[in-house]
Amino acid sequence: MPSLNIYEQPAKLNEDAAKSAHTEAPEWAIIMYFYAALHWINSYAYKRNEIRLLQSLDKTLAPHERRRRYVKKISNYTGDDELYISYKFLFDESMIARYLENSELECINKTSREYYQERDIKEFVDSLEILKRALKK
Amino acid sequence: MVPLDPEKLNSNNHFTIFNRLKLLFRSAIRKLRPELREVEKLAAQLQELPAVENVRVIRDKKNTSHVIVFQILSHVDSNSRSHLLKSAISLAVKTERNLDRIFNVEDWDLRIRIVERYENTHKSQRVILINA
Repeated sequence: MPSLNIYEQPAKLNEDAAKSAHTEAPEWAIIMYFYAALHWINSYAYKRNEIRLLQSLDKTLAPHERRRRYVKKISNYTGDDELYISYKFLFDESMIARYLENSELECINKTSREYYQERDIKEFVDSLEILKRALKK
Repeated sequence: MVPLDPEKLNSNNHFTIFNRLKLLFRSAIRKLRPELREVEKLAAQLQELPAVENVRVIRDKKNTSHVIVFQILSHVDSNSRSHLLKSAISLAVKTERNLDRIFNVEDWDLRIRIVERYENTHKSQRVILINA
């Protein structure tokens, strides 16, 4: 992938890996869709010489939090909240897929895999597409 | 002014005075902490979404954090869950922007969690609102 920048490459690789995991490991597909989104955001920042905003030396702010604020800001510039909404959606779901956060899977007595096998994966694909489209505006 | 002649106070008057004081107190608190008004508005909006049974709002005990968690109690089916979550996030984002504008910051983070039951809160947190 010679024409892609260093952030677009992992974005595309994560996306491809997510697609191939839909059936066998949907919980990992969710996580990879989020990481594809994360790298598309990085790529956007890189192209605008704003990548330093995501790599601040300020250690009091966690990298995910720094990126969330950046996404909110660029969503504001473009006047399109869908970018920020899609990012938050993918982030929240990826946290559930990773850590079973919120005890919600515990109380319904399911594994993360079983839980995401019941969900419509198209929602996650669509969210990533919305995010990518918004970044092109 | 409310007359405070004890002979004129029957139980209803007393109740009215108490309610007025409560309203005055609430109004003063809202002026001091405008985020509460926005939190209440958002909780009411979330409550109106389909399949939402209840909404509970959690914040740090010191009331200083700009991270507020809105727990939506719901038994929504798997297929409708993403739609509910996105609708809720969409409302939360609008409120986040209002709060950022009111406080002239960019760090408000209103988080949505769909839960099937309310768990005990962490010791550093407290419930600041629960819809009746």
